[in-house]
Amino acid sequence: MVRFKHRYVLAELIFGKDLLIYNITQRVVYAAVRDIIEQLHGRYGIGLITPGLSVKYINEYTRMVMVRCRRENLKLLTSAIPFIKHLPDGKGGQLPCFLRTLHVGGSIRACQKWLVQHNRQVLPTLLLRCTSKEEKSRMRKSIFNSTLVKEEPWNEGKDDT
Amino acid sequence: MARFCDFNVPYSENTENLHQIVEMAIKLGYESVALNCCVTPGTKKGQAAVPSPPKPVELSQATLAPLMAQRKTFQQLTRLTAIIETNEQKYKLNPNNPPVNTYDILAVQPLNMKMFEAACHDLEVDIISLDMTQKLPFLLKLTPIKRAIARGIRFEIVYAPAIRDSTLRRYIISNATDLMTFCKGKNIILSSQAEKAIELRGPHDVANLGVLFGMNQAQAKDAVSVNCRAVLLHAETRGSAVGVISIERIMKQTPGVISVERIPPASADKRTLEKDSGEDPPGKKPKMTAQKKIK
Repeated sequence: MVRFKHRYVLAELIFGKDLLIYNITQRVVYAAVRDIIEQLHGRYGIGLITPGLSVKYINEYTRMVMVRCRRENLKLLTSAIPFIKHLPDGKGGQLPCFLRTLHVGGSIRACQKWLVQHNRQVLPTLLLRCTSKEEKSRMRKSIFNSTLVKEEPWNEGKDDT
Repeated sequence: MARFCDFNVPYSENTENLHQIVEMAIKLGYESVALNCCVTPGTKKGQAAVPSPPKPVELSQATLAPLMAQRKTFQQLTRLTAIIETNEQKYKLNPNNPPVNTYDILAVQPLNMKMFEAACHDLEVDIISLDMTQKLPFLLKLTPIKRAIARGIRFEIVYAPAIRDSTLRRYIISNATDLMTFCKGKNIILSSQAEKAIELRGPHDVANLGVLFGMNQAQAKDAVSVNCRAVLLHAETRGSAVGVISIERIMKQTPGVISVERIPPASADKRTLEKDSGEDPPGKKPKMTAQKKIK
């Protein structure tokens, strides 16, 4: 039986400067979320949100973050997320950045499912970045191949080719 | 689902910055953006009280491509916000005057109780915007707000200053919740007034902010989508007689398609208006489409 119901907030990091990779870790995002909740909801808010709050997943390349919280306190988290305006970049400076909420799910699995679908939709926009014709055709081919896969890649026991 | 709109992108001469903001809005999933011109009418003598509307930002094909892939279109509107304090300034905002009627959306920002009541009761506007970054200069009262809601005027809450600074955040939250006790979450639009692209937030995040201001989830979502559409329709009715009849000039351009041009009622002859009303069956909705096909 499930004792604690959780909610997973899937968000995209959008940076002011366009770099290929950012030095962002789970701990940095966790601290930022905690800080902003303390600013906005005070000690009471931070007391409520701390049990159960964690950053479950981060992808530096696709810039996706997944933040978990207890179901009862979801409003505290979602109302605070828009106020994040910068994250520390690890060198003592601040990176201007914000989070864009994409999806709120009840399990990690549901969020992953949604994320795969979302990434498939976003793939064609990569075509616009291609410069030469050859590159474009190669990209189109690889997109076509990747979208054909029907098995869920995180399913254990059933390895896809 | 209704499209997401952001009806307050401050227009500035700095085109590069404006371009960045509009591009970010597209990236975040907005489908409609209004460039806002903020003026205090009648400050200088001899000068035109209201500037002509800003030109839309030119966008490259690459930025529009993600929208085109989903078969959506992007819309750029113009909006005029007049800060009014005296009766004289109020009269300059006559919607039939030439520079004023070229704007798509008309908004006012009253600075005192008298002007607020006037805006709620009889000014021909679509949005009433209050400067929420400080203590409101007057007390909000139920009667004028009720009247404004009955006339279909929307109240605006601006969120970007709240992101910028924590003191402004406090004022905005207190003023917004104050307004919410009268409006009960209806007739509110949430817009950005972002000075930089980084201050914009995605439509779902803005709806979450609305929850913070005291709306429920559905009302907050309406505040960025449905209510904005209602503002546009309200602006359309301003150009027509009682919101029922509008006069259009029909020009033939390409075979099969007639393009239609709206004529503001001030320039139209009253007699033609009556004649048109006789022909139209009662209860027929105003024509709001820009293009129509021949049967």
